[in-house]
Amino acid sequence: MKLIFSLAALLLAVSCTENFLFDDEIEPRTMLSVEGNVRLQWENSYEGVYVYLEGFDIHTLTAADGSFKLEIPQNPRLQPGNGVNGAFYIWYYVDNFQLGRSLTLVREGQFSYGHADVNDKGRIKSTVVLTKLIDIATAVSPSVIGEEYGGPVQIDMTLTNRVDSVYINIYERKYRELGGVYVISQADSNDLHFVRLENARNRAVLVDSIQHWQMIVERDSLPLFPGKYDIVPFVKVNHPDMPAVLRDRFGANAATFSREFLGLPRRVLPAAITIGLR
Amino acid sequence: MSPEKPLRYRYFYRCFWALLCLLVPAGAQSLILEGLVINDQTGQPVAGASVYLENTTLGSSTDSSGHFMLRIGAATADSAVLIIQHIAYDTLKLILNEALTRYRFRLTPLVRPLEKIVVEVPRDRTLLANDLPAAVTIVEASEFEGRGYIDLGDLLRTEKSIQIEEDLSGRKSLSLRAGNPEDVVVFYNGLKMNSLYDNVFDLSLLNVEDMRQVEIIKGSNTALYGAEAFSGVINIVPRVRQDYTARFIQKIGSYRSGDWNLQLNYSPLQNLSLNFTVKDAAYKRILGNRTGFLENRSRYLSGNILYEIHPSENGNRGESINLMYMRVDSDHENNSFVESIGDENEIVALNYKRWSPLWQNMEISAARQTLNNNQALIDLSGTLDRRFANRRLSLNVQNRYRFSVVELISAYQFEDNRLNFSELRRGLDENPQGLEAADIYQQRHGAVVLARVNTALGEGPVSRARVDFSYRYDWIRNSERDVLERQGARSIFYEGEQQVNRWQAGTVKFSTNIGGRAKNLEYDFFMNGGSNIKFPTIFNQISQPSPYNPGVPEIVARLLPEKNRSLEVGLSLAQLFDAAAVVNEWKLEFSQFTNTYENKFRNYYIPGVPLAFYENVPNADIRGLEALWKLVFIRRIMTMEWGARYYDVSDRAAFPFKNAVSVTAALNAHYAGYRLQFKGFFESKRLGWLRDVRGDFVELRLPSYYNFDAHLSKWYTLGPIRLFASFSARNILNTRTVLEGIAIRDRRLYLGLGVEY
Repeated sequence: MKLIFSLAALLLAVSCTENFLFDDEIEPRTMLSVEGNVRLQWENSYEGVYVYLEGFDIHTLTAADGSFKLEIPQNPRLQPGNGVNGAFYIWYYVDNFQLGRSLTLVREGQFSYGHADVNDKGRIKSTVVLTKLIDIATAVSPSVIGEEYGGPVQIDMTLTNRVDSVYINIYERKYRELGGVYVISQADSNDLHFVRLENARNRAVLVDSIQHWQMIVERDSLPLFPGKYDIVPFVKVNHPDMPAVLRDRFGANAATFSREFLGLPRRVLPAAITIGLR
Repeated sequence: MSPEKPLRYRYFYRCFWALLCLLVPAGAQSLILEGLVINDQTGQPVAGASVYLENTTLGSSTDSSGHFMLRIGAATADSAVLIIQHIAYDTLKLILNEALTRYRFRLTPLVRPLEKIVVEVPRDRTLLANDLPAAVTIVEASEFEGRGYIDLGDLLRTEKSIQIEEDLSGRKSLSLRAGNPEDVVVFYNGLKMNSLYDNVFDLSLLNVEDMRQVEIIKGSNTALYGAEAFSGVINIVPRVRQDYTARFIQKIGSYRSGDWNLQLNYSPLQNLSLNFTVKDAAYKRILGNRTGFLENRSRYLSGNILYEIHPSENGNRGESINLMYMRVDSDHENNSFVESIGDENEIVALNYKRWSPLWQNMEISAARQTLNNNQALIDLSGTLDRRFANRRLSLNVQNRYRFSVVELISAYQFEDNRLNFSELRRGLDENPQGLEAADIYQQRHGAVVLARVNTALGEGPVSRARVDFSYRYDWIRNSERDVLERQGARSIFYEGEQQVNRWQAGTVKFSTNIGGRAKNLEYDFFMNGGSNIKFPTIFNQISQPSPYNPGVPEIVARLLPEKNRSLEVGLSLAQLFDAAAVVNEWKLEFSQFTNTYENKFRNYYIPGVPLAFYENVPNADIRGLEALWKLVFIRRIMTMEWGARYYDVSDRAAFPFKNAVSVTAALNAHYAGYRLQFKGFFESKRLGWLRDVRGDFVELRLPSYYNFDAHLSKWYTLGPIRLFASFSARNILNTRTVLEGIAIRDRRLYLGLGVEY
């Protein structure tokens, strides 16, 4: 009995649930972000490409060099099911460029690096190049008018297709007559004027060559106050493969001649008109 | 001096003491009796036989290869009587003087063994002894006790037909034969452990030092213990009665792990045995750059009171009552953000066995189990508080009746389950939907009849034949009460009983088995098959049906039971040679199976929606081939084993991330109390299908992986005390394969020291 007690005492003395001998570290990888680079064909600056991760419903815009970083906002263990599994596309969107996408695989709430279009370091494998579909150029004459100017202003729009054919929606009154433009103050983008012709409507048009539109605007339709204004035509390129969730990000009316249209990322050359300044 | 230092010195002293124990040489002048205990009829080694001297406390037992070593004091009289005893064999008594001249000791089986090799039905006191035969792998305590295994999941990691998933918190789930974790039923001492919520059991909650053996029953051929084990059963046989009085094992190892385990056995009366186990374990993983840590602690208590009202000579015809208690508390903390997970698991079980001439073998078990799991997580992106409280009351009545070659087993099982569930999600940018809290009640009844014809045909090419047939019927009723649903900005509480789901189904199984011997080649062939049914889990029932996808019209969400049909054929060949030969035995096992699923559930989540979706695949199947080659050589000192298997899964969204090929190789050697084990394993790429937003799938391939483990251990006998030391190195190749399951795949070292009285 004595032996048992002394043995028990010895055992309790040597028992431990912690030791300092093996102080190992672990490095669980956090793979919650994906980085990449986007280029726009025929452009020098790659700023403002809308980058959208479907499913997670998060987006970012590219910097001037085309770089972007997307991050899953939640701790994987807080995500539904302790970490979501799925295949999700990153979409790259500029309205008058071809829609681009890269595939990412998400396992247990984290990106799977080294799989699909993501490399081992969490970067999109190759630079994404978006093909330009259409050049949209606008001109206005006269481009400088006095406050007391009472004549008409002529707006010309030239669409040049960069691929074989492009379906677009424009605001048109009759064949090749532009039915509406936005006039936006350069000083304050909230100072927005819709200039539209009577009986004009949204029409689908196929652009397969260089095409010109014209619009004659009376002085009365232009802003009263002096200042510099951009003239932006309503030209919406059709993207049949664009996912509905991405479309919905810009509002239900973004494909119509509405304020929401201006929220779309686009690369256009606006015409500028100066009113009343000497 | 920093306040931490004295503490550290204390640990150093403890470890120093422990090391000292390791180095103590075997003591006084004494005799060593070594031997091999074999089955007189088959020549197979007998594991777990007690070897002791009459009227003394001196004793030992045979290991899995039938070997024993007994140290005898020099003063022992030559006329002392050596006794070799095993529950399934006639007791062998012989004079010590005579025993010292021998190496082989032959035991005569009480009942002629009819099943062999692949169809190894564990015979004594185990759960599956009465069930239909199936491919079984038995892992005995001598292969893992005191070694570097932190829990059951860690131990079973290297089995070829098993795949273990671990998450960062240390929670481990097991899948068998390319099925999913919910297709495996885990039994502890005959009690089902799977969670009521999702039918999965966390293997990190079980103490390996408390186990006498772990039985891996592959295939879905268990009738007595439910129709839900589509891919198999893990049956844990705890140590209820041991031949030592006290045993203490201390392990230390990687990740600051420390683990001590104390077992006490006491028999105040000849027919009363008491058994008690306590274990305390912890490990702490420091995150890279010391940005935080992950800490796991667990405390384990278990006790058994076994009273043999009428002790029996052959283990069957007695009357006994056994009361068991088991409790595990485990905590995980991750301080890189605030996360804590706590589990409390408690079981109280009462088992009564009786033999009477009228009813023959009658067994009644009743148990109460609680399994509570709490998870709390606070992070910049929000907070989560999830609670599961499971309570299970179960009753099992079983009768086994035998006349001539026919055996008839009938059983009735009842379960009354309650799950209290809540999931509070706060501050998360998501669409609030689904169940926030509910009380869920479940009652199930199962009735089963199993008929068996078991014949011994004498010596010859066909010496044994066996046919089993079973029919089982299950009823289940689920109801939700006091439901709190997230609906937009507010939650809506529905009082009283809400949804009631009832299902019932019958299943049929058969098995045939023939075996025999031609010259010294022994063969065994089996074929079994049948149907299984699994009722939708609570998790399935509170999930949302997946929106219909016109692209795949055959996939529709149906809240109906999953069905499974299986067919398996197996063959094993073995040849035994003389003990003096270089090769003593070889054995080849081969089996092929097909599991066909109907109405297989597929669950998935969408980001921002805290609710699971389900859909059902009309048909999915898993086909597999398994092979094993075992070689025993050099006076049975060394054993080599090669295992390989191939599984083909038809639907990698329903059975995601299963590896197709796995190869294992093991070398075991034991000599003079030393035991050396090497285990190498390879698993091929894991393939899984990930769903995209449109409901199409993209395949993800996770890298293949290989590694090996080594274990060295030694038992010393020092008078009445036995000392044990072990060294384990796990995942010796520090591969850079990164996956979840960090503790399973990292290189780890463990030191184990034990003492037994």
